[in-house]
Amino acid sequence: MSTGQEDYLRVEGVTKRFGAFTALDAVSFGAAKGAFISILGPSGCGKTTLLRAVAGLERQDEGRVLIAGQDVSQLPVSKRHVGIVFQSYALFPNLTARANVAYGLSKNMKSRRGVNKRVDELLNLVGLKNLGDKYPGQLSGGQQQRVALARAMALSPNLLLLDEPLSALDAQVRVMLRTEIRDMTRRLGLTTIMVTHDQEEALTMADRILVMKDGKLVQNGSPWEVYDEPKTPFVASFIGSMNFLRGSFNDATRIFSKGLVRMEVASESASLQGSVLAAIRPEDVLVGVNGEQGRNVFEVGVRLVEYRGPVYRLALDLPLGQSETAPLIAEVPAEKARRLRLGAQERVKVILPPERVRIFAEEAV
Amino acid sequence: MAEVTGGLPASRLARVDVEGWLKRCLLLLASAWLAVVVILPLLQLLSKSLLDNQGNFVGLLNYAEYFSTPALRNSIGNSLYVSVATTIVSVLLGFGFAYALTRTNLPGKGVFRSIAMAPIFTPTLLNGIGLIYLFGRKGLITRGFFGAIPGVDIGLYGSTGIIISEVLFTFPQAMMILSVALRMTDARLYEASESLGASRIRTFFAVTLPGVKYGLISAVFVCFILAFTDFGAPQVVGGNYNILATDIYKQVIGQQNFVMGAVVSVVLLIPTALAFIVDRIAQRRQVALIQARSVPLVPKRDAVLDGAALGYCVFISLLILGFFATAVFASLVKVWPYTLDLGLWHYSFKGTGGGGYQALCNSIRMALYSAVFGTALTFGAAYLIEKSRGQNVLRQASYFLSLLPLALPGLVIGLAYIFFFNAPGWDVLGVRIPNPLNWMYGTMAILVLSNVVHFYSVSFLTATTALKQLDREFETVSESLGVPFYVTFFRVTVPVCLPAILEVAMYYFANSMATVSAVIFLYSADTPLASVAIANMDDAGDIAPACAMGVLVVLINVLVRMLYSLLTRGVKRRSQRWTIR
Ligand SMILES: Nc1ncnc2c1ncn2[C@@H]1O[C@H](COP(=O)(O)OP(=O)(O)OP(=O)(O)O)[C@@H](O)[C@H]1O
Ligand SMILES: [Mg+2]
Repeated sequence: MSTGQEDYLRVEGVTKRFGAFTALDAVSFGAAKGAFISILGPSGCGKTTLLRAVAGLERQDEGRVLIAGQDVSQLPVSKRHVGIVFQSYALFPNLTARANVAYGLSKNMKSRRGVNKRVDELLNLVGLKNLGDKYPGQLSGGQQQRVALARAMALSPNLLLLDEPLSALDAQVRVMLRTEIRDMTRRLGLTTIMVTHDQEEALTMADRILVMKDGKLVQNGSPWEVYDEPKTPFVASFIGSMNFLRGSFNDATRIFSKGLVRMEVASESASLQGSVLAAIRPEDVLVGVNGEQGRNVFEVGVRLVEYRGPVYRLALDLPLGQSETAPLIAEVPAEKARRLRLGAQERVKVILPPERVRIFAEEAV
Repeated sequence: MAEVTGGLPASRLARVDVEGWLKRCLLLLASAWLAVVVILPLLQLLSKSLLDNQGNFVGLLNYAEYFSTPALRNSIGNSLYVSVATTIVSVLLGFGFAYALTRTNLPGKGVFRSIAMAPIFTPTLLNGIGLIYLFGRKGLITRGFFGAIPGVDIGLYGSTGIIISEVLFTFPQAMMILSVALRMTDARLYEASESLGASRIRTFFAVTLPGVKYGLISAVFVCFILAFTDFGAPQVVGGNYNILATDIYKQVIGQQNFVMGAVVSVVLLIPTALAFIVDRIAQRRQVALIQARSVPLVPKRDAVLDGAALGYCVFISLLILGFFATAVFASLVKVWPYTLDLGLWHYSFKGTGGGGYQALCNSIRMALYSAVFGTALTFGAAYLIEKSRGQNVLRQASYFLSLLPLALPGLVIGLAYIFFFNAPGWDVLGVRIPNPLNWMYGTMAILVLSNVVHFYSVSFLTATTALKQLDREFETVSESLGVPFYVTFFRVTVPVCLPAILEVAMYYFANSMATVSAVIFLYSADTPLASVAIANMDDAGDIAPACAMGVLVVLINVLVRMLYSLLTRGVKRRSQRWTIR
């Protein structure tokens, strides 16, 4: 983790209330210069509010925001030097793409030629060299979002803030723009915060992911950490999918037990005792290893086989006893599933690798 | 230390948020001005009704006198009767027309709609005068087209005449509101109903009517308010049938009894305010319905229904056109019904009171001022209320104040303004405050102000609707780019909203031309007005010149309407560059 000294952006204990409702609850994080941060979380958890607080569009009730070591908490958005891009693009419909990009420039640059040069530069940057004279209504969604991006970049902001910039676009354009945006911010060394609903977007683009829930920051980590070492069952289930087993855990032996299942746990997790949740990702469940003996091998019934293109998704019945009815979900590469000729009602062996099993204190998922 | 190369010199930290303050002040100003021109005059009116003619406080004594005078008291029942009857007829006729326009394959919908909308900008005085030429003692129908066929006397003067005039006046409003409601209904509901095998009649009662419930409620209350508070038509065809609106006029102008005028105004205000509240609630529900995603309904071909719709619309259109044709014809006839030579005799306005062309020019001037100032004020206020962040209390208060004028009949505004602007000053807690607005009394300014307030709410709602369609983040984006909000207002908001702005301006112009109720108390010898001239000439028995003046007012409104169409077409063509893909 980076320390306060090297963080370009610091958010310290920011709390925002709307009447009695707390939209942000003491959120703190930092971002190194040039870092790409994604904010991820369910609808209404306060992602936009956090972004707006950083931008200066909402004044926080408590806490501070620092940019480049300066407390900007009391500054309005116009003084914070941030570029903002919204899901709706918010392009001015009566101005051409050029005029949109030049919107904030005209005031700051004296000469017309200077403005034109800068606009050309920006349109080039987003790959819209020849479309400057079109009106937003004449551009596709992806092109409109590029114009919005160019406009946000016009004043060379310290910070680029993106609120679900890609969610109104169709899948292919989205993937393309993802790469382009990331390349651009990397090239310019621009510190960026992007709110998104799309976990794949967050995982592929971000240096760090902030996972939020009910106005609180639940986890702040690299994509790898957030996916492989989720701090709470909520994070585990929100990003990717996760099997949960309710049972008891003995910290001394590191054995999780439930019904006939006894399972070793080798992953690093906080020392817990008693009633816990064990969790394993579907793709970590190894299926159909013949003759395998030893740790965490179980024979299970196949309840259902579901074809999903590149993978097969299996619903398996662990010998857990009566109470648990939710199946264990496993994902098997299609090639392997075909080789094993997996079918419903059969019995197969599975391994739940001890180092891939995580233990959480029991809480509502 | 951290790097400070990010471009945030410390001096910036001290800068206050100037723009935020500017916005706040403007918002405060917008509320304050409404409070001054709406709330204070109303309070003055209310307090007047509690004083005697010498200015001593008498409590509810005036009200007791009012209710114990049968001649006055009976007007309440009369007013209720004519407005309820008008409402029923208008809403039924309007529903039929709106249904034909939205749910059938009627040919020439645009033409029918324009014809049905024509009466909106007609002075209601002319409605009455036109009816006199049709059904009056020497009327076209009463005399059987100058003796060509046997005549029928419908007994126009009194409630019958008032109701017909008011139906003519309110029909377009009902039709408009119901068309909007009918257009909004979700086609999927009809498909569902059809797939369940429901009959047409059943579908109509199970789907159509509930779907337009709020539209119907709204139409009912709007028609009621308009008919209940209108003054022009009853003044012309009411005869001895007294209603509240004409009572106010008689008390104030006829008997110079301002106190009783104030009492009747309050009596008129109460049902109007109630209807206003119900209408607002219905509107809010309706909006909630509209916001849900829906699939537009495409009417199916149906020979019987389409034929019936065509017949009905042709019939109603002929009635409206016939009415206007009669008015124009009557204004051109030398001596109705004896000398049917056509000419412009009555358009000279020689030897009649009212001010003739000077009044007409004044009216045009007033309508132009009202359009310019009214549009600027309503649009500016709507912008501040709709597009500011925070200040929720202030914004809600302004919003409420902006809708309040909708509940105020023109006569009440006029009378309240007499009291308020004529007052030399007020004694507040023993301190004498001179009236800083006293100079406006009797000038063009007070006429314009009364119009701006009278037609404020509808314009405000039109502007608000247009502004709501703009992206919420325009202001945010320009703020983040360091562009002041007023620059974005003029560079983006106004150009994008130009069609709505022109519509508001036209609404102000046409209504200011046609209105008589507020201004009849406020005009002076220096500021004669066309609509007032119609009333006065009619009063003096010069019906033909009154009719001619009415026709001129309509003509000007039609011309302005055409100008508006041209302008919007121009704007559209220009804006097509950015609206059409
Ligand atoms: N101006 C406001 N007044 C009152 N409540 C607000 C306001 N803005 C946001 N909220 C509330 O704060 C909460 C967080 O809102 P926010 O817009 O930050 O959510 P979000 O995480 O961006 O959601 P989404 O993914 O749907 O965009 C929501 O419950 C919302 O209703
Ligand atoms: Mg959001």
